Amino acid sequence: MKTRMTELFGIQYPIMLAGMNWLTTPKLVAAVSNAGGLGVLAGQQYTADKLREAIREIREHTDKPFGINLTLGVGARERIPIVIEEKIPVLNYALGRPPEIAPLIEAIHGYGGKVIGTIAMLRHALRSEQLGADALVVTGYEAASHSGNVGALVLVPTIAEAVKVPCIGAGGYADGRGLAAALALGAEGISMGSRLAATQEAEVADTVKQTWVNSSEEDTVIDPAFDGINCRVLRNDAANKLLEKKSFPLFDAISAGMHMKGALGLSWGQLLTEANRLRKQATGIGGGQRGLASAMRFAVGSRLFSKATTGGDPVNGILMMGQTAGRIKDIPTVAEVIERTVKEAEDILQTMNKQFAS
Amino acid sequence: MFKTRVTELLGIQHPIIQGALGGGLSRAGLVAAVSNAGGLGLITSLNHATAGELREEIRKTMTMTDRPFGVNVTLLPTLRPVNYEEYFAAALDEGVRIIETSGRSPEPYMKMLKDAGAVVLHKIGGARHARSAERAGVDAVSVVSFEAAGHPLPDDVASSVLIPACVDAVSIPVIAAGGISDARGFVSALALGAEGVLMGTRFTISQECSLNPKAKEWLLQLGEADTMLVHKAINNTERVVRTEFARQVLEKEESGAPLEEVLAMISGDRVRNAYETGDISDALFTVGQVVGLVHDIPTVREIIDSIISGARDIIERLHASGVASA
Repeated sequence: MKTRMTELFGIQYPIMLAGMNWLTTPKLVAAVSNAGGLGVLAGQQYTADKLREAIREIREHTDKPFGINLTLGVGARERIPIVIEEKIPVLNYALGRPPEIAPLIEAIHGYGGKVIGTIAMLRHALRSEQLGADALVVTGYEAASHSGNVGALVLVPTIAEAVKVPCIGAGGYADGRGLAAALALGAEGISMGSRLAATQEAEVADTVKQTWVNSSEEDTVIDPAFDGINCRVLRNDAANKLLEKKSFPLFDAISAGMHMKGALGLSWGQLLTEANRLRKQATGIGGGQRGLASAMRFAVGSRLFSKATTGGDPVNGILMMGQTAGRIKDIPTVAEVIERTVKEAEDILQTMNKQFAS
Repeated sequence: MFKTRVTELLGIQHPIIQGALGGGLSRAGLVAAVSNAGGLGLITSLNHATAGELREEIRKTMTMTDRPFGVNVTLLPTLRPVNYEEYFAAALDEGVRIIETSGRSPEPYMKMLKDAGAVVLHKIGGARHARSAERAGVDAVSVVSFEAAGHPLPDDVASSVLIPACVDAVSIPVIAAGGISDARGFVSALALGAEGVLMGTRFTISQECSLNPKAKEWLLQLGEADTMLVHKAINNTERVVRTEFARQVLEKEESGAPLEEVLAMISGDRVRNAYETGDISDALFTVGQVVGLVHDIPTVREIIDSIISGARDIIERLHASGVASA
C-alpha cells in the first residue's frame, strides 16, 4: 500500500503508532516498525540518559524507520540534543512555540531526518507547515488525550485541503474501515494509539488492555480538569473525582510536584524552573498560555496518568483513552493489527468500486 | 448511480438524503429538488401547524416531482400538544410511503405505518438506540453524530467511531448523519460501513433552500470551529453557530433560569423570522461542524452530482495509487 506517507518515511503501510506516554516502549515501537508501520516512542517519559538507551534499544530490535515523540515544553530541552545526536529517523513534536520548533526542525533536517507536527486546529496546521514540518498528525475530537472540538470527519478534510504536506488522521481509527475512511478524506495514512497498545507486544498491564477491550465508545470524557487543557480519558472513579473538584487543592499539586521531581530526576532549581516554564507554556490547543491552576492540574494529572499505565491501575489512576476504545475487541499481535487493517481497507475500496453501476 | 441497500429500500438513485430542516426550510421546493436529483427529500411535518397544512405541502411537492420523497415526524416533547397520529395519517393518506421518525422510539406508531406499507427510517444517536429501533421494526437508522447540527446525543461520540459502532450493532442499513457535505465525507462514511448519508447543512446552503441569501453568505464565512452545543441542559442538544446570542442562551440555560425564559429565546417564530430576514442577531442558527467545508452555494443537483462523480474519482485515485490491489 503506497501513499505519500509511506514514501516520505520509507515504510510499507501508512500506519503509525501514536507516541503515547507510559504506553509506548522500545519493544512495541520496534514491533510496529518491523510490521511495516512507523513505530513512535514517547520521549517525554524518559530522562535524557534513559531516552538515549531507549533509542539504542529500538535499533537493536529493528533496522526499519521509527520516530520519537517530544512534547515541547517541560524537560524537552534536555531531550532534544539526544534525538539529534542519535540521528533518529523521524521526530514527532507536539505543542511548542515557533522559536522552539523552527531550530528543532532545522536540526533534524540537517542530518536528513523527517519531522511530523501533531496538531488539532487549522491555525496550528498552517503554522507547522510554514515552520517546515514534513507531515502533520491531525487529531480529531475522538482521540485520546488532547484534541480540539472538531470531529475527524470534518477536521481531516479541512486541514488536508489547506496544506500541501501529507496529513495523518488520528482519533477514532482502529481498523481497515478507519484507514479507508481517512484516506477518502484526503489523509495519507492514520495514527493508531489504543489499538496498537492493546496488543500482545505492548508492555502494559493486562488490567489496562482489558479496559480497552471492555469499554464502549461512550465511556470517555473530555475536560480540562485532568491536566489543565482539554484531555480525553476513561470516565472512571478517579476522573469523576477530579471533575467534581471545584477549587484546586494545593496539597495535591505540591505532592505531585515532588513526584514529578523524582520521575524526571530534576534538582530543586530545575523543578522550580520547569514549573515556571510550564506555567508560561502555550497550551497549543485552545491557544493562550497556561495559568498557574492549569500548570498545577498538569502536575497532578501526570502523576495519575502514570498510576493508570505503569501502575496498571485504570480504576484509581487516570487513563487517557479515545472513543476508539469502543472499536477494540481483542488483543492480537501488532503484525495482525496492521495486516488486517490494510487488508480490510483494500477490500472496502474494492467493494465500493463495484457499487458504481455503469 | 451508486447502489446500496438504502437506494434499493427507498427506490432512489443515489444514497443521499436531505435532512429534515427546522424553521420552515424543508418545503416543497427543496424537497422536490433533492428527489429530482436522485436523492431523497424530507418534509418536516411539525413545521406545519396542522395536519391539513402538511397535506397541502405534500400535494405541492407531488406537483414538482414524481420521485419518492419522505415526511419527517419528530416525536420530541413540544410546547403545543401534538397529535402525531394525525400527521402520520395525513402523510400516508396523501400517498407518502417513506416516513422518518426522530426524538423518541416510533414503536407506538409502527403498526399503523407498516400496515400502510411505509418504509420507516429512524434517527438515533448511539448503538443501543440503533438496536432498540431495529427491534421496533424500523427499516433503516440514521446515526446522528457529534459533528451534526440537529440533536447529537450528549455522549458526544464522533462519526469515525459512532458509524462503525452502529453498523456493527444492527443488521438493517445505517445512514450517516453529521459531518458530511461532499464526496470525501460520502466515501468516508460509506467506508465506515454506512450505506447512505443524510446532509442538512449542505442542503441549507443551496440555491433551492428558502433561507435568506444574506444568511447563506454569512454561513459561507464560518470555519469548522465556529459552532457550539446548546440545550444540553434541557436534554435536546443542538449545534448552533457560535454567536453572541448563542452564548447568552447557553448562559441562561446553565444558570438554571426557568424553562419559559429559555424557551422564549429559542421559539420557532424567532428562528423562522431570522431565516426569512437573514437577521442573525436574536435567533439561534442550527448548523453542523461541516459548515467549515462548505464554500459555495450551488444547486441541489450540482451538490448531488459532484458527490457522486467526486466519489468515483476518489475511489479510482486510491486504486490508481496502489492503495487498493486490483
